Amino acid sequence: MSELYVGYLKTPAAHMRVIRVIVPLLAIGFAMLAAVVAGSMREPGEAVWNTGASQQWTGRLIDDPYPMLLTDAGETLLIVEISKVGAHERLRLLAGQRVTLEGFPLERDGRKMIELLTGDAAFVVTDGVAGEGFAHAERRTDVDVVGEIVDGKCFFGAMKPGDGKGHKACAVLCIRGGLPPMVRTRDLTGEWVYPLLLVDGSSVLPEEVLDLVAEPVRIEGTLGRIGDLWVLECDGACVRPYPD
Amino acid sequence: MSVAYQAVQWNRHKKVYDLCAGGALLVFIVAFVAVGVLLHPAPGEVAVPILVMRALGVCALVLLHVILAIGPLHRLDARFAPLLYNRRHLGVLFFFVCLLHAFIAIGFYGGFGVQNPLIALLGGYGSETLTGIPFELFGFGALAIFFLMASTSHDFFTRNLTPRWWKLLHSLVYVAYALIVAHVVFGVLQTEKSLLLPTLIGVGVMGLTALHLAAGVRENSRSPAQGAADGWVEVGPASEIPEGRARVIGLENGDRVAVYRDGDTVRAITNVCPHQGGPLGEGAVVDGCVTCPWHGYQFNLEDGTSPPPYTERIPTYDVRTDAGVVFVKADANEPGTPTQGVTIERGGAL
Ligand code: HEM
Ligand code: FES
Repeated sequence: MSELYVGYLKTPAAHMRVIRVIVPLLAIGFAMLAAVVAGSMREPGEAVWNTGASQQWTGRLIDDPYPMLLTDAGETLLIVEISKVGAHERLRLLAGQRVTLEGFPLERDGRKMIELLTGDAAFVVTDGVAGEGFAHAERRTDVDVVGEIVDGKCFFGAMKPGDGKGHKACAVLCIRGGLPPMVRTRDLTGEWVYPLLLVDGSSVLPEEVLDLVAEPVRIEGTLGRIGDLWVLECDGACVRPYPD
Repeated sequence: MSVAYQAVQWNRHKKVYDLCAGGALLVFIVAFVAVGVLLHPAPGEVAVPILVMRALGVCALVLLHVILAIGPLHRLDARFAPLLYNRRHLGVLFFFVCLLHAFIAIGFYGGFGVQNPLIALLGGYGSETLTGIPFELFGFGALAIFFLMASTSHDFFTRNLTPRWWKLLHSLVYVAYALIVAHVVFGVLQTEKSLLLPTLIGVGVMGLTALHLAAGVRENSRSPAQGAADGWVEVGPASEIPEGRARVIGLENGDRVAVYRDGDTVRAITNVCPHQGGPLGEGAVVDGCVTCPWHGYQFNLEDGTSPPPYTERIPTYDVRTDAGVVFVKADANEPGTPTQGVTIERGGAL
């Protein structure tokens, strides 16, 4: 029988041999496990949130159905605040005006979004002629899509990855805070598209739809466009878990 | 063992142990984050807090497997004793890894919003669907158990909670383990498509189960419960007990007795160490005292007391011999009761 190991006495040779084998083995095993698990993670996708240098955009400000800028360059850019909050409050009084906004761009798969700077310097009214503060989706068609409701800001780059079950709690919090709910789905050519989701005409989701954020869902509604932004409109009952 | 409680009783082995454990942990986190960043090198392609949070989660999971494997491994081969010696520190270290993981998850996913971060992450969503179960709640439940375990790990609690409650509390680790598996299955496995993590977890669960079963079978076959005739239980020939070592037998009431031979005297004490329930019968006589194989607590064979200045007392058992065969009385004596023991002739036989 081997000698007894007692922690406060000298370690017997038999135990020492085991330690000499097992400790390096554990260390190497640890490093390898870490590397393969890290390597097996899914691709976070190419989303960019450039907070290094702010940019400016000029165009007409819309605040209904969601704060967005119809830029002079012909883009439709959703606008959000810093952190997990929508920009409705600050922009309401400017709706319909031609403005120049300053903020940081978020971009994914060609879709851009503006994260507005804090403070009054974030917007300048360019001329006094007010237009419409709301925009309707045009060229609407009935659709039946399968996809995932994500929060636009995290998914467009504020968090990577910003979708999926692990991100669900965050996405629900973001949408509650007024960030735009968007549906991650593929168009007929297989390209990813991200329509803004409006349930009963609003981007504020009812609780039963919030429950289904970050899960596979099937949505029956109408798909239209505001400028180059897709908009998916439906009523609450038309968002269902997928497969049923 | 000690008269006055100290924060931790340090010695060289514990320090080396902690250094190795801390080092392994660092290696894990650094390797995980490095690979994550190297595979996604564009600036900000992966959010570093998320990467660190995930590294800590996986690291905690691996540590938990190591911690749970040490017990049965030592049962199967006593040479794993040095791993067991300071397992408690490993447990506390593990708890802090879990805590940091949860802290980052709560801060990053639950923070910066219109709700309290804890509520936002733990109570902020739910769903009728199976895939929508808030997996964070499982993690939280496990963390609560680990907190209880880590905070009662000091000897102060082993004494004052009574060994029975302490053991019960610490068996909750298996509940926590199940919660962690659920945390991963309903969490990360819902989005990650790679089969690596589910395979690793399957291997982990099966490996731990197999180790525990093997250790249990081994222990039962080593010391099967013996029926008593007139209140005495047969231990076997005195000559079969190695010098300075014990033979462990099980009683019908589930208790285990360590029957020790020290020189030419045979005496019996309980197999359960009062410190953390270590198997005294797998220890040895060192400096005239039975020494526990787990952390080296010591007891006099004559009366089950710890040598002064220590004050532990353990139950003793009466023994007798009949034609060279040792018998032990099935009723335990009060802790600290002196026993006569039996004297055997040199060479083993009476
Ligand atoms: C309050 C407690 C906890 C919270 C809020 C929490 C939260 C999270 C979150 C948000 C994720 C990310 C899931 C994903 O990316 O899909 C995660 C993953 C994970 N957690 Fe926890 N967790 C908690 C406790 C624990 C504990 C105690 C452990 C102990 C082992 C643990 C182990 C893991 C593991 C192994 C992963 C998977 C990591 C990966 O592969 O990405 N968690 N947790
Ligand atoms: S269990 Fe710790 S010394 Fe016996």
